[in-house]
Amino acid sequence: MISKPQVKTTIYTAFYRVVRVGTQPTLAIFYQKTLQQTLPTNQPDPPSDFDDFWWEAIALEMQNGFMAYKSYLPNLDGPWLRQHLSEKWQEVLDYACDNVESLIPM
Amino acid sequence: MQTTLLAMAVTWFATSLWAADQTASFPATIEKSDDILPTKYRIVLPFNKPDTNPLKDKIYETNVTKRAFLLRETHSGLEIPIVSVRLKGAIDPAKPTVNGVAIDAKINPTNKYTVLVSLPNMPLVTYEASPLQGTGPKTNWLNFDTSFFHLEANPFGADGKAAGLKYDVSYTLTSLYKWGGLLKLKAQSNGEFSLTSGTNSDETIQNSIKAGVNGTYEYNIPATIPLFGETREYVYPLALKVAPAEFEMNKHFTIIDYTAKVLAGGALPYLDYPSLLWSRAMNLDVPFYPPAIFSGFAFVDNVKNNTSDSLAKLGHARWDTDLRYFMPLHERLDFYFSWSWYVGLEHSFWKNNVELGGILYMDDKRSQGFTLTWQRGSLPPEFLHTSSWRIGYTASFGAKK
Repeated sequence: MISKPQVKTTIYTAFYRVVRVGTQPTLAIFYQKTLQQTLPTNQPDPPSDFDDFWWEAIALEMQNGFMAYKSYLPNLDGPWLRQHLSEKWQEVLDYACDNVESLIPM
Repeated sequence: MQTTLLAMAVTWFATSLWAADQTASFPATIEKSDDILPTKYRIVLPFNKPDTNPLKDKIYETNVTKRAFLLRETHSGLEIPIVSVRLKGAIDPAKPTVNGVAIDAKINPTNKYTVLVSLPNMPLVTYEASPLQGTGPKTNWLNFDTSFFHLEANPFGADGKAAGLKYDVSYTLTSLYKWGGLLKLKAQSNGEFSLTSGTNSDETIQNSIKAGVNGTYEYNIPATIPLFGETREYVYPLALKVAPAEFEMNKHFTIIDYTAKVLAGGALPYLDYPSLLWSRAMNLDVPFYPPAIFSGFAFVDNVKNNTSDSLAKLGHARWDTDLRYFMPLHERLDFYFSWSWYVGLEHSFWKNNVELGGILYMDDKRSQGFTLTWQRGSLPPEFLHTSSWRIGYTASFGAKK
């Protein structure tokens, strides 16, 4: 079963495996920012057939990160992340710590 | 019949004996399951509400199996087979506890259930799960689960003359993790149409309905990039979309267009390397996505008579491609390049459009700035050729959805 520190690094690492930045913020600074503050601005949107393209890529990378620890966060997908755009990453972390569950049954 | 009654009696007797030692009872919830899970609904037993819950510390310490749990339908006393039990909540290394467990079983969300938990050297703990609020019958006459159905309806008045309805309805057929990626199958329909007849609604409300099914597969390709003495792990997202049947029609179904699409989109491996080197060398903290290309083939046909001539130039078979490249040059300066290519396969028609330029931001939040762009090419639907230098102003307010 995944631990709380592992959830914390998984979310951070997964995000910065999709989003590029010259100098990455520290874990502490990252979790104090909102989702919107950490995302690229003014970059052209993908075509309408792929309107959630980057969101889905971030969600998939997070889920793959949880799965590496034999865990799983139910209902995590691109639209779910987009709904929480104005919230801090800390809130996403708290939710994930409470709801992540073991992929392998007891 | 006799066998069933006997089984019910035995189950009731056994659980009654077990319940005789019961000391505590807690509320549980019925929740809709994620597609990855083996059943459509599940029962979640929270351990942290209240904090005195005895299972909170014990369940992780003890080597518990699903045999410690007994699930039964409250009103009939029937035992329900448990498919699986999973621990819920990340572990706190300082004090190994979990938030609860989730029990996967074939349950009806409109019923009430009782869960009995029996751990070694502990009194019996009972959970009562109330029916899921707002859930109708599990299946209807069409035999699909209505809780996986999403509907948004927006009735509206237009200019005080006519009434219309805007709607968006979708049904998630499935979403599965396969081969390290995510596969989604969905049926959806959206559009707007007039609820009133006559010329007033013809002038104010569109009669446009879209419906179709599509499947998407997403995969992230990993890559390692050396960057000034450090090594960074990145992924290049890739998505494939197949929409074999999409229909666009009017309210009376007198005009119907059929579209079939095969599309692919993805970040281009290593083309972000120059931007990364530059950003790292300049110590920029401006986030950006890697360059990406989106390309798709679409077949469009008129199933019923269509008086419009939208297919005149590109024909029935078209292939569209978009390339986007974006690079931050400074905290307040961006460079971008986009190229679009439109091919009408039927008429051997092709046109493209190129745009490159920069944005100079006026504030650190990058919410407003000036743009300088060079454009050359043609865009649908008219495909008139234009070429120009453009100076503009850009501003963004609120959250970008």
